[in-house]
Amino acid sequence: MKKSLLQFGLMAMLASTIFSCSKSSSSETVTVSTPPFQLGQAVSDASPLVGSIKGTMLTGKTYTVGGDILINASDTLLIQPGVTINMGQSGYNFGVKGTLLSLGTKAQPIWITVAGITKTDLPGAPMNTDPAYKGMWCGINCDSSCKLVVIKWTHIEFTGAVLTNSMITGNKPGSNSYGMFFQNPNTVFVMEDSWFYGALDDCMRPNCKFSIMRNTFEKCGSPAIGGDIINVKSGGTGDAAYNLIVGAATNGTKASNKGGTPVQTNCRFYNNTYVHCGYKQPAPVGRAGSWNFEEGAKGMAYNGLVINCRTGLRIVANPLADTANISYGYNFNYGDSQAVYNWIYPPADLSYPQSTDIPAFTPAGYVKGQAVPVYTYTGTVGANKPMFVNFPLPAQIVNKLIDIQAVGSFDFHLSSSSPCIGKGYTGFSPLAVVPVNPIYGATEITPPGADCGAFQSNGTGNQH
Amino acid sequence: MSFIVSKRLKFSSFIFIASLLVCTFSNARTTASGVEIEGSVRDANTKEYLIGAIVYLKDTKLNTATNLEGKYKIKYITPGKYILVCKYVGYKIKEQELTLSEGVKELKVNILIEPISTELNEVSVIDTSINKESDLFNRKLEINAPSVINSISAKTIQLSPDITVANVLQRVSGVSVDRNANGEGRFAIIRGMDKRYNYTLVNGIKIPSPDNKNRYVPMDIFPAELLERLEVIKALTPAMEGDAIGGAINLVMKSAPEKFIFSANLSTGYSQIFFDRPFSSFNSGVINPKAPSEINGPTYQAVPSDFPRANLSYKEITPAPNTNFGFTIGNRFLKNKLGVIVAATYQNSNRGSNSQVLLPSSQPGAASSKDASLNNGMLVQFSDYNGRQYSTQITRMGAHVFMDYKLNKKNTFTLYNGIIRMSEIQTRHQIDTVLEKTRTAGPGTGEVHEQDRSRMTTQTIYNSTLQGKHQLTHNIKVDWSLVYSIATSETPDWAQFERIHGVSLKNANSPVDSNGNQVLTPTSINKMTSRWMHNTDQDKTGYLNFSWTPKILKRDVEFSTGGLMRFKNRSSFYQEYTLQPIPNTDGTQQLWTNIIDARYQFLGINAGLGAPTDANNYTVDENITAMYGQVKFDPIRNLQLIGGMRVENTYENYTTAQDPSKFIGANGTRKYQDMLPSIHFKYALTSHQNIRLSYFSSISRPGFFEIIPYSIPGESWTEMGNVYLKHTQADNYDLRYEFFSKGSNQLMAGVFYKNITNPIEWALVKEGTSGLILQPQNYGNATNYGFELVFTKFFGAFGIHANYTYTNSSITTYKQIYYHDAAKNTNTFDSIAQTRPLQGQSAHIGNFSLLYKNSKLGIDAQLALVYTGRRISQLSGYYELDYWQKAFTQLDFSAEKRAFKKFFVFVKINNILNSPLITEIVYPNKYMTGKLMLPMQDNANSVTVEKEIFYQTYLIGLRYKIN
Repeated sequence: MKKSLLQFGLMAMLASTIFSCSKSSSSETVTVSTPPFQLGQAVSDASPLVGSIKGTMLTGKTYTVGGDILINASDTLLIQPGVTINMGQSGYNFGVKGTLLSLGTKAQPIWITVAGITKTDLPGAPMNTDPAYKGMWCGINCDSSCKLVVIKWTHIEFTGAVLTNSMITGNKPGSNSYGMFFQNPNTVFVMEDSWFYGALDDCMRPNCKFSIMRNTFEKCGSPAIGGDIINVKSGGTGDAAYNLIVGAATNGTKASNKGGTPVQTNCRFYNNTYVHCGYKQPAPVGRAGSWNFEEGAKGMAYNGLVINCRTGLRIVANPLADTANISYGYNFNYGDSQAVYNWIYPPADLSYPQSTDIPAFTPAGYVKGQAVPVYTYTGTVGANKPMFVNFPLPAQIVNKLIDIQAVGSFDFHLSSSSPCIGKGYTGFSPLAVVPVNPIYGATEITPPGADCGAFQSNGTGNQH
Repeated sequence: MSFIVSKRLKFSSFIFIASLLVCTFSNARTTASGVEIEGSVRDANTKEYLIGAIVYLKDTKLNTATNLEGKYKIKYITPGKYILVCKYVGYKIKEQELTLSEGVKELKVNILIEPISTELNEVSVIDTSINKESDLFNRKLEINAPSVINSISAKTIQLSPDITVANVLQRVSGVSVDRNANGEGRFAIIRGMDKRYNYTLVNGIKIPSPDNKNRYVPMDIFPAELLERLEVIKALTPAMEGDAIGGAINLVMKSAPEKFIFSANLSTGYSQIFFDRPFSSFNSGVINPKAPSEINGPTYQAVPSDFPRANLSYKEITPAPNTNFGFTIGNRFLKNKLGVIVAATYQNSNRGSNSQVLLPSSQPGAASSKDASLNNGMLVQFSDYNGRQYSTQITRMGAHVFMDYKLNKKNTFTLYNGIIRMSEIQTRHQIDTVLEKTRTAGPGTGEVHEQDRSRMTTQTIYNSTLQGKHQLTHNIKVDWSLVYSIATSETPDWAQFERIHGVSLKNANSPVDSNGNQVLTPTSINKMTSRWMHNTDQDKTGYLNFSWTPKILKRDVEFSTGGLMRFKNRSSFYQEYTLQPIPNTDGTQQLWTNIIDARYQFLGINAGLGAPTDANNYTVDENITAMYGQVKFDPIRNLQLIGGMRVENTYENYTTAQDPSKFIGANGTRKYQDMLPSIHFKYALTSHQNIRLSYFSSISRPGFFEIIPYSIPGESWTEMGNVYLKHTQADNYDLRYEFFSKGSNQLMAGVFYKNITNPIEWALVKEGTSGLILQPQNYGNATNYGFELVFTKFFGAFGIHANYTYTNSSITTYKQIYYHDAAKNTNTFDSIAQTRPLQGQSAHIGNFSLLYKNSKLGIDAQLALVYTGRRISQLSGYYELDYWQKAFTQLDFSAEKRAFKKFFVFVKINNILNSPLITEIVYPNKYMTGKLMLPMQDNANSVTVEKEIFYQTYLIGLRYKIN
């Protein structure tokens, strides 16, 4: 009996092995070599780049820019993985009238940066001397004729110089530039798995069709000027999700329909992590926070993870956001102090407490749909720590919450005990206004995740 | 002249002083019995009644002067033999013997006096023996003019409450003015046609503009005192430049007299506003006349120490009284061949205004559907509430020298040199409250920006004209002019800085004081902006005209031809620097102590370059060549006809500061030609009545800046020039009846109609697919019609002068409607046609003046009222959301009294009613109550967006006059 049982067991194991082998054999894993994708002629790295550029920048090369550069309306510039572009400290403009493809990979990211800069990322580093707030070049400025910009696994750094000419329509000489600027509702803009570090004013104005996913933004907006990270004006439609935003001057993600295009601003902001945002805005009251909707904009705001920001989600009453078409909830807010909790729902705004929010609380005197003079948090301050892998809370600041400006050695992945896990809402879809394509579109439009914030416990979301 | 005003003297005190003056004017005569002589004084040739002629009995103290109807009366004469003497400027003295016998109560003596004939005056069309500065001369001018004009005499100007030409203009029939921040008129709108449709002449020569973008000339730059007369020409003859659709304003400056003249005046005054609040002054002496980039070259990176701060440090002072003085001196030399007049004037005044402004958000809330009527339409939202205080020191200087040299009977040369300069040193304090999302009726909360601005602008117009007039044969004449004119404007270091503080909410979340009340957060420093702007507009023009007057069929027929060539160079410089505060090392904001100690930096590479390629840097060359042919004759008795054709060629060439290798349209050219026919009929019903009918074709050229394809991104929309902008063309029709009766009595009634092709309007238009831009555009056709009525009537010592103009213009343009598209569940824009009046056009404008004249006592007084009906002051890009300026009524008073023999005392009080200038959006007002309540709201049917208050101004002075 014992023997026959053993025999049966062996046979069962054998059978199951055969069965499973026969199943997997139906699809081989095949790897073949492909030549690197190239468009047109290679761009020469022999002398500094000035004026019109097109073709391909080749893997491993370093290009130096020596003047304003421009991709003409019918041209495309392809940047292969592992390219470094040194934009210099002379305020040069990177203009796009045609198509820009910056296709880095996780193994070989692209750098569009300034050579020879030492970053100072420790909390409390002095801001007046920080190279992130010096504005060294004018960013990537897209004319209304620009068709497509794809940025994958690319570092863009140290933008914000003052514009000196009108090479690109919509650029005003004498004004501080934005890190990236779009102005045609039909332009397609994809930014994935990339890094943006240092800007004087707004990091980007994607007034176009966009998918901005799984990126890390640090040190954007100087304390003298302010500035939002993703500042969407009229004509901007798309998804901004799984982004880690640290130390935004004013807002991390902001949607407004100001600017008069026929396309209403429509943004789905979800699964973003906002850390210590809103403290560099010069205005003492009334604006700045973490994320907001204002002036006729519509969209969704779900699954946000908001840590020690000046306010929680704001839905602005004047100028009035398109409140009828904004939905939100499942947002996780944390603060080191009572003051931070008290501003999760700014009293004058139209963003009301949701039962799905964490912590879910109902302020005294709250009437649904009506702003009350004060939202006082009566729960325990700091009780709902999000349990990051390495971001001790209360924050290890030198003096004030403004001291946290960069990721540095912190790690904003969720530890397995995080209360953010499983608190997200997955019952909606991305707007998905850009094509999915390894070269000419998004690699992946990641749907909403089950965990609040940019990093998912199942390994999806932000890959940094 | 010592009229000292204590700081706290109130308006009532002024009224008291003014009434004292009036009382001394009207002291009653003693009564007695005797004979009475009465009658009229008339021109022996024209039979015109003459006003102000002196009538007296020789070797007695009995004397009088003719009144506004040209009549006189001398009472209480003891019977006996007398010599009755009549004297009048420009006329021969007339003496006649009278015998007044006992028993006769009244005697009627009508006097005819003869003008002093001066043979050298043949050149001029109109008999110059009459004092050119008199009202009578101007009535004659109107009746003799070949086309439709209105004219105002120097005497009328002198007696009016006005000291600038712009303010005089508003009293002309069919003219209204745009006001500047001080409440004074600045630009003229003629028959509802905006300032762009009119031009300005000095002695018939077009002058360039000190404006940095446009052609029109600010009329407040001209002191009224230098004028011999002011003409508003509403129908153009072929000999006139053809680019006026509303009309042309001709400033005729004082010309050389026939004999020695001298006059001088000195006056002082005050503005009521500075009894109520101090004047804010700054040190304009530290202002750098040139930008750092002009001093050190365009690649220079400015540093914060390049910018003085003392011009942003303010002192509250009680300003010194305003002072005005001027003189005119003229004579003839070299056996009367050379005539010279020199006139100069200086006006220094301190003006102020207080205003409140609501700034709208860039776009309104969406309408619930596309078919928006006012009730379900777009919701206007406001982002900011501004309180503004202006303190402005205005200095006007004008000087001119006019010389004529009458070589002989056939050849005359004149040389005119004139310079006009106005400088404004202005402080603006602004408190900008960002309208908090949820407001209560109590104290506001939120973000407050305090903005202080210092501006010094100097505008200058210089004109030099050499003219010759030659009688070649008995019926051929030629005249020529060589003209050099330059207009400049300089605004060095227009500087503004900002401080920010917050007003906390009254709740536990916000900082509160120990009593739980709202507190102000500490004030921090925000950005500072400095601009340098200067521009010049220089004309070199030559004119040549021939006329030949043969007798055809026993009638004089005048053929004339001629033309002009003008080379214009215009350039504009603009540089702007923005300095940012240096935050504290920990990233917190720098707190405010004072402007001198504030720490600023240039932030961002190239910030120190400023804005060297700003679109406002440009040059335009414009060459105009024009020729005309004109004929003037009387086809039948009493009917005069002037007609002809004018051809104008325009060539323009512009250059911007943009790099032509990077920017489309960095430079370019345009040219066009216009054929402008016109015909004018004048039918004299009697010697005092005319009927006029005229047609003329005219154009209006776009502003210099508008034709450049610049692009300036704004907060809401990008503003763009339009190189394809067409010039405006118009067909103009006029019909007018004129009646001039004795004295200055007058009645004019007229109708006009204009058909305007390609009017230029600023509007929001779609650019490609990217959105809306604000751009000057041509909009098909517009019409403008109306009627004018001018009425002057004197009743003895009193007179009334009234004019009224009705204007109806209509233009249809596309506006944006922002609405909710229910089918697509999205908010979007669409274009919708809106028909409205032209910008600046009031349906009703009018003047009413009550005049008092007692020639015997040397008193002139008037109470003048100006009414400007509601009009669009600013166009909105959105359907039916234009800014309307509410009807505005201003009441002014002026009086003059002969004090001693050649001395006159005068007083002028402006804006007696302290009328506020209110701007509104006609839209159901949702801001009157509740938490959305806004200041200034008192009308349920319109939202008040701006309210400016200018207060009264007073002036008292002394004038001395020989001849």
